[in-house]
Amino acid sequence: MNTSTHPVTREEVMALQDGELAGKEREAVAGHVAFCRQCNEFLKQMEQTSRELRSWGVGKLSEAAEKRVLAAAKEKTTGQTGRDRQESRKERWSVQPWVMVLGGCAAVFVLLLAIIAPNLLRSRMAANEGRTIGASRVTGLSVDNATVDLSPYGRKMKESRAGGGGGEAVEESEGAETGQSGRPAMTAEEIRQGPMIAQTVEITVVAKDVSGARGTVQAILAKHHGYAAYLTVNTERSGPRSLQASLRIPARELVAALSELKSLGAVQTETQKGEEVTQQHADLVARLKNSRETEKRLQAILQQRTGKIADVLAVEQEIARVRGDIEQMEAEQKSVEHRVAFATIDLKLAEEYKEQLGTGNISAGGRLRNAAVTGLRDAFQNLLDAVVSIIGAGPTLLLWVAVLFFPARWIWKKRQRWMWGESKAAEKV
Amino acid sequence: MNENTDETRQSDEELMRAVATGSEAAFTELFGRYKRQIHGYFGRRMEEAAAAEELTQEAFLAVLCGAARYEQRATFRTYLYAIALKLLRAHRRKSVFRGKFAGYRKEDAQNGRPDGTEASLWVRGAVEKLDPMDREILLLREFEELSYDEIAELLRLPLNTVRSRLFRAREALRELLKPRESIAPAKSGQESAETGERA
Repeated sequence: MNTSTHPVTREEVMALQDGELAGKEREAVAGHVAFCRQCNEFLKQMEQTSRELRSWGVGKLSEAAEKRVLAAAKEKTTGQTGRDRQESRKERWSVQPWVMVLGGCAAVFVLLLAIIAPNLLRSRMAANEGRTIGASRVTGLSVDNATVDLSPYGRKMKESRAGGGGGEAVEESEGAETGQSGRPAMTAEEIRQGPMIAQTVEITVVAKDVSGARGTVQAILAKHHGYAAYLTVNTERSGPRSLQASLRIPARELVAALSELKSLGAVQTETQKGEEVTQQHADLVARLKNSRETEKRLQAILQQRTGKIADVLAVEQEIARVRGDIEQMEAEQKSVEHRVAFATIDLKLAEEYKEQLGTGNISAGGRLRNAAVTGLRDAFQNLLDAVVSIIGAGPTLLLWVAVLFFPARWIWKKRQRWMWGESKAAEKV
Repeated sequence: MNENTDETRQSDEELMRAVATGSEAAFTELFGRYKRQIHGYFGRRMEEAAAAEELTQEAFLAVLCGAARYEQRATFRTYLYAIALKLLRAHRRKSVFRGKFAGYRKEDAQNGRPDGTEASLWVRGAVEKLDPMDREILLLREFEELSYDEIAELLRLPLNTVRSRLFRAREALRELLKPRESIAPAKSGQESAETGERA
């Protein structure tokens, strides 16, 4: 049976049988079926199939189940039922959307706090430490609680204070107050007494105003009898200003100068290194002594002995060579002693950048292009970060899901069973 | 007499609104009207009779608890079968999960199946061979007596899809039931005779 021999399809005949046709369509199909033997045969087959299908019986609902449902209805309408109690429990267990939002915000806040707080505390601690040391220098108190003091001379100074010799402390305090220390740098003899350590400090500070900070740096240098090996100031019109400097500060003044530098702003990074050059210095001194003695002997030979001109010239050449070596070694010795006497502070001073109004030098098109490039770069970077995070944290998350899945499932089943038991108990009541 | 009864008889939707206001009688009436259909709905789709009974209770309890939130967007029948469908799907999901993770065996469920007549088992076997969606549409039409529109709304399918799938399911079932006719010609012949007499 097809539409070429029949104007209606079997589906339409079926729909007619099911009472799903209406209007003209129904009339047309019914009109055809009334006179079509094949369609009637098809309808009979359909009825037969339906009859056979409906022979599939299902038992009745048990009386106990009926009673349970009706009892629940009765309790529901008369008061709070076990089911209601379940509902209220469910409400208690289920998390409201606003709670989720609040919880999410709290989680983000805690996360940010966990990231920011350590940095903030670190810079605060550094500033406090600087103030403490500065104050102790002014008042002549012990600085035993100062945590950063790598200098052996600083330790020696503290020992002398602890030993009852108050003169040093007074001298320091006077120096701090007047800005003129009596002993700006150590003498060579002082240097040679203990282990020789060349100290280097790298510090990055974010200050509110670089111009003001630059003046303060100069004042600190003057106060502690130091100097700047180099100093670069970058003053871009449309960006944050910065200052980079390599400062040389007398080793004994390092702690105080450092604390004052830290108070310029928030300390971002701080690295302190100490290189022991005692052996290098001792070696230089020994070699220098030998060379001087050699020079003396050569001079004695030149004065006391006579010989050929060539021999005299050879001795003079030797003296000149030894003299050159001596001068070179003396320079090295001075350099080493200077490195010990003057600590190096590599200072990087950045400004807290505040965006200024105004278009600047860049055209609108250029700015749009830059913004587009920055945006694309940031988007790609974010995508990359996200992928990296997922790859990085994925295995850990999967591990925890695997670990927590079965306990969570067990708890959930326990809860379900308990709630079902409560319901049954309520129904019995 | 019957006409008067029909006029005074409240519709399902009216009864449901009464349930929402706390009428126990209205719920009892609704339960009486649909308990057989809903139990049959679960019974024909599940292996265990106990589970079917449990889900029947759950469906009516869901109606009871959700009565306050009931809005008449469709007929009550569609609403009720939507609840049943949702419960059934949840139950099947859990069964699959149990089967995979808790070592639940299908044989255990079949052991709990109630004994049926030969005809019931034969039909059941044939229906189980149908495509799941075709089977669902066929059962909703034949046993729950839902209209094509109601089936389409319940299963979120286009009306024409429902019609064509129903046709396909009936044709497939007719083919599947044919061998039985050859095995038991006497019974079929008797049924045909009965049908002929009725006609």
